[in-house]
Amino acid sequence: MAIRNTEALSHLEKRLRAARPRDVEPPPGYTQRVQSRITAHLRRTWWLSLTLSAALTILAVLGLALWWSLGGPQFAPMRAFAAAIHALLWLMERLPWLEGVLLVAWASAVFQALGAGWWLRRYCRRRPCIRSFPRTQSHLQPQEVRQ
Amino acid sequence: MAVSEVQFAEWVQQYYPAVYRRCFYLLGDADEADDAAQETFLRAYLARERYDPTRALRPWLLTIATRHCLDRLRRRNRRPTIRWDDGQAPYAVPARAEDTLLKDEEHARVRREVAALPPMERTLVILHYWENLPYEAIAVQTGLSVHAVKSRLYRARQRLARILEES
Repeated sequence: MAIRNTEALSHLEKRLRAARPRDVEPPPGYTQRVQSRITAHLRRTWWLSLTLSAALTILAVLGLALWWSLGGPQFAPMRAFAAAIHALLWLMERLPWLEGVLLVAWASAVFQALGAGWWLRRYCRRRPCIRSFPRTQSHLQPQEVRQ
Repeated sequence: MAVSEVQFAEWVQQYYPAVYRRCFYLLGDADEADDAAQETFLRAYLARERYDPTRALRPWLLTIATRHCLDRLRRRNRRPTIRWDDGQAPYAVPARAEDTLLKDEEHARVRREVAALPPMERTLVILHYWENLPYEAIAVQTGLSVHAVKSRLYRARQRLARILEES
């Protein structure tokens, strides 16, 4: 039921104002409570940062130990990558059609990326609510610019 | 602006009652209001470097308090427990001598219905009718536009009128 007249509205407003709780006072000792809350927060933050830096240090030491146990300066992770490329070249030598398949796959990926970019651009023009892709003013209609 | 510890302690001394009152009105519970008021001052302490001294301090603190209480209200999944006048809360407001029992019941009923409103409407009604804030100040403190404040207050009034008529 809607409020039809000003009299009913003013009666409701009067009831609302009259219902306000009176004599609301905070419990005593609030200055100390705020102070201890701030101190506790700062202490917690300090402990958290200390724990984080200790954990990072331990991780770094463990990583260094692992690297050293794998051979230290002799260990080259690039060797695995080089071996993978070598295996692919070996396969392409034996399977001549593989080269064509890879070329088509690469071209398709490029076209898909271009298409997705074009579609996103078009979509964002129509839907300015997507804020991660801000619109530039150049493509807006005059009435949109005024808005 | 660098705010010293002494200056911040003065802020607490001066504005804690107002912040507590705002939290109590919005949350309806003395313990939770005290916790929310402390949280407000903690947030103010952490953000004190960003405070613009050319603007009034009280509305800044009350804005932090209001938004924090709104977050708390939204987090509540159940209908809030009302402890404004039931005498069970440790800091429940004592009944005033001039209030009759009938009046008390009527006030408690209106408060219950205000508390049953959705968080934002409840906040708007309380800021407008209990804190006597103008629409512009309510808009700043809640982060809504003035137009949205007016229309949502209108909806809240309609809802309250309907519920109070029915009961």
